[in-house]
Amino acid sequence: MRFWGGIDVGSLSADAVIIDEEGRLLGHAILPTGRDSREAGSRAYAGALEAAGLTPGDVVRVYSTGYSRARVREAEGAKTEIACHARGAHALYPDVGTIIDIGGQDSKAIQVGKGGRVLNFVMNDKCAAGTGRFLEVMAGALETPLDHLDELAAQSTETLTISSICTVFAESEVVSLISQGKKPADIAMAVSRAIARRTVGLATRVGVSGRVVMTGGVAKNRAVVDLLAEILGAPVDVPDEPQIVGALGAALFARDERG
Amino acid sequence: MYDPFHEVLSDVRGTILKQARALDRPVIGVMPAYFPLELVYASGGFPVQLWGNRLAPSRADAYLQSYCCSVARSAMELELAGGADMVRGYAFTSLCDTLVNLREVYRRVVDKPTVELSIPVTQTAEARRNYLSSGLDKVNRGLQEMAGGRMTPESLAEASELYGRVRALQRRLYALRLERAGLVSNLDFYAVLKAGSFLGPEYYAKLLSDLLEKLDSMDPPEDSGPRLLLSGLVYDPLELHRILDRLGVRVVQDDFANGWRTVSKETLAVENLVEGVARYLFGPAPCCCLYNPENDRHDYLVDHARKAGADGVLFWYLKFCEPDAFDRPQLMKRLTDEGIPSSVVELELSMQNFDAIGTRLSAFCEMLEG
Repeated sequence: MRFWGGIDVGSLSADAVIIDEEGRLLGHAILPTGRDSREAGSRAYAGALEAAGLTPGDVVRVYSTGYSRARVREAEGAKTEIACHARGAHALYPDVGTIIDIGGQDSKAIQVGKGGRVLNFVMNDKCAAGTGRFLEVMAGALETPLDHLDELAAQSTETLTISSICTVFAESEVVSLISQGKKPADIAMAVSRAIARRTVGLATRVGVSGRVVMTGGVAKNRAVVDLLAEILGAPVDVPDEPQIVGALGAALFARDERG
Repeated sequence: MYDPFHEVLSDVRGTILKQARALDRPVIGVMPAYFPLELVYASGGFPVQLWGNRLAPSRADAYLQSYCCSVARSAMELELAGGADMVRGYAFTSLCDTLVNLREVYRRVVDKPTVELSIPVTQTAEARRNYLSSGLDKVNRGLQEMAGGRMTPESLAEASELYGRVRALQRRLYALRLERAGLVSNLDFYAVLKAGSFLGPEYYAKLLSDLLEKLDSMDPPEDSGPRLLLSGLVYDPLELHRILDRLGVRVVQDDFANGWRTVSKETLAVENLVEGVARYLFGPAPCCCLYNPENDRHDYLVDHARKAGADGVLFWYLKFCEPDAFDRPQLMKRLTDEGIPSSVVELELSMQNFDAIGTRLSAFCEMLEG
């Protein structure tokens, strides 16, 4: 049996997977990146190996992706996160047409063709608006853990609007709404709607077609996913573990390399 | 081989001062774009092209909105910070709203003379000539007052020959890049082009001739990275070309306002100056800032990319450049319809961190390579 690894080191999390010859996922790990992205990649890889019950010697080849892809010491090759998310999502959903990936510090919309080939893509990496960081800041303003933001939004009864695109100004709006006595649940929903609207704008630029799949950490926020589907007018599928799709794509590229 | 050009860029100020002394001409700052340098030279000035710089605006922000492009903001920052003290006056064109307003701000804030060549926005060639005939004399008078020389038929003919020769040599370099893709690195190519902005025409023509002579006998490397056409206003920041080189990209052609759109211009015809300037401004390459219904950008860009054998087109978008931004979605759609992949990177001249853009460029290359 032969095995391959993929490591995705992003701004907020380092994710790693181990796959077999059939592309089956044998183990994965998701860790915070922290200050040392090289170390984070190594730790995530070690975690994935452990989850798969393997040692480094069992692995034929490792590819890396993500912003720190060039710094991953275990990797023999690297691919951009755009190519890897397309490849990974295609492995999970062979009929995927559009990928929306919202990571910690950027968001992307990718048009995917046959075999997971990238046909077109757009990225927002200029500012925190429309990224995981935006949600993180808003969750902080609401004094709510990030992973509880969607549960809070689910209790919303009043429609509020966050109009600022800038994260800093949007945070001020949230603080202002809190001081007006607005319910945190309604504010959480307004925050989710703001990020969904911005993401739809991005996706529309690249063109939405076929099955829509959302990847990245923000895909774990059910409120954002539902709002995205509502505004797009199309269902949005989310893999069981949306954070490892990039790492999965990297592992598949590693497997597909000859030798 | 490229050292003389890189040395110019590593000391632009020193270069300009040295060249001005050697030429014994006052420095005239020429703002983007398409102002015929010949008119400045024929008036006794040493035209230096100011396409912005890497200064982060601070003083300029007192006069310019944050949505002005970094070319305008950094050019003004240079002036206000005292870095353009050798510039005696400025020549503007009415290329875009920002530049028109920038000239007005300079007239009030900067104690230096300015002239503006108003670019006609008219339907026909005849209307263009009529428009220019009413304003060109004023521009020429202003240049002569600024530079202290006298524009004569002889000085015009000399300037026309010199700058015509420079552009002809630059076109040879473009042709060489196209024929032997990869022979000149992208960084070196644009360093050669940019150095010309700060050199006297005769001196620059000599450097170009020497370079071309050496390149003539050289073969390109065997690498076969994607062939790209770049389109935008300004080929800066040069750091991005270093990234393209690292990715193995071979830029085979461009559509930059300070690149091919200017380099492709024939020798300025000076016998009938109004006619000559009209032709110079509007031909042969179209521009997002020039209104010319007879020269469609969509057809041109598709044809330009096809002739260059480009695998894709990369739009090099200078943030807040409205004319470029308005044109781009339609241009990208047309390219897609024609089966030519395209992508866009958004830039500012003062940017320091290129990681995110590097990822976009890599992704675009991966996309082209399938």
